[in-house]
Amino acid sequence: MNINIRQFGFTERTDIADINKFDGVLELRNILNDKLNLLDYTNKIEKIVFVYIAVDIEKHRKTENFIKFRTKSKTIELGVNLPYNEFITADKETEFMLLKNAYIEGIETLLSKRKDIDWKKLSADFKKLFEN
Amino acid sequence: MKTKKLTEQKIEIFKTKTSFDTENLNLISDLKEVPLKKKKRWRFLIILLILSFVSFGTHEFWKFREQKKQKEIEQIRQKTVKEKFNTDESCEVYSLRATQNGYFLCYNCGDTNTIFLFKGEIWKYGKTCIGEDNRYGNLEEINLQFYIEFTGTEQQCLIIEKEKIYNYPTLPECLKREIKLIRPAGNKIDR
Repeated sequence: MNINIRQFGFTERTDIADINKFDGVLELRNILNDKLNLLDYTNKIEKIVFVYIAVDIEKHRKTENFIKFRTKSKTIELGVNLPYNEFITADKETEFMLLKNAYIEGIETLLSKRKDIDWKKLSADFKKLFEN
Repeated sequence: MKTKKLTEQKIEIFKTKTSFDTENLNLISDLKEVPLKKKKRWRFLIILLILSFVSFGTHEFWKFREQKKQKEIEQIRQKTVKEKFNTDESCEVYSLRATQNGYFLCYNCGDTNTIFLFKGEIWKYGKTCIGEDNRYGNLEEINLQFYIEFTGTEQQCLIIEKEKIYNYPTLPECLKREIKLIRPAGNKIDR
C-alpha cells in the first residue's frame, strides 16, 4: 500500500474523466514538499491536504469551499472550487495557473481563519516559489 | 511415363484423402497430412473435455453473480421510501481512482494483498450522501482521487453502486489483467 508522509498533500473531488487534467497537481505537490517546510509556519499542524473541487454543478451537487481540522492526525483539509468551465478547456499552462490561484485562495480565505498557523508567511513563500 | 510413375508412388505414400491434378501433378491438399495416432486423439479429447468443464463452470459462476446482483437490486427497489432513504438528490456514487501508477491494497487478490494499478484505474466504488464526512486526507495518503460517477436519490445510488461493482470485471482495465478480480480491489463486499 502507498503510504506517503507528505506535509503538503493534494487530491481532487471531480467529475472530469480525464485524469491527466490534474498532472499539475502532482507537480505542485512535489514543488511544495521539496521547497517548503510546514514547521516554519506551525508546530500544531502536521499536514495540509488541499482538495481541488472541479465538479459541474449542473449535473452534480455543489460543494462549498471548506476547511476541516482532523484532531487525531493533526491534519487540515482545505477544499477550494476551481472555475469549472475555464479549467476544463484550459491548456496545461492555464491549468497550472488556476491550480496555483486556487491554492492561494485557500490559504488566504480559509487557512486565515486559524490562529495556529502563520498563513501570511505561507502565502508569501508560496508566491515566491513561482515568481520566476 | 516418368510423370505417371511419380503419381503412383505418391498415391502409395499418402493414404489420406488427397486430390491430384494428374495433368499438372499439383498436390492440392497438404502433403504433410498424416493420420492422427490413437494416443494423440485421446489426449485431444481429454483436453477438450477439461476445457468444456472449465468454460461451463466459468459460465455458471458469472450466471450466479448476475442472479445475485439482480436479487440484491430487487431488494433495494422493494424497500419503502419511509424506511431510511434520502429522497432528495443529494447522494453520490463515486469511484476512487489512482492518481499515479503504483501498488494499492487489494481485498480480493487471494494470496497477495496488493495489486498494481495504473493512473486512472479504479480502486473502489462507493456511495455517499450529503452530510457524510469524506476523509480526503486518507485518500491523499494512498494516492487516490474522488471521482463522481452519479448523483441522485439514495435508492438510485445504491442500485447504481451495486451495478458498477458487479460490472467491474467487464471493464477494459480489468480484462487486460492476468488476475481477474470479481470486484474492485478496494471493495471488500459486493456493496
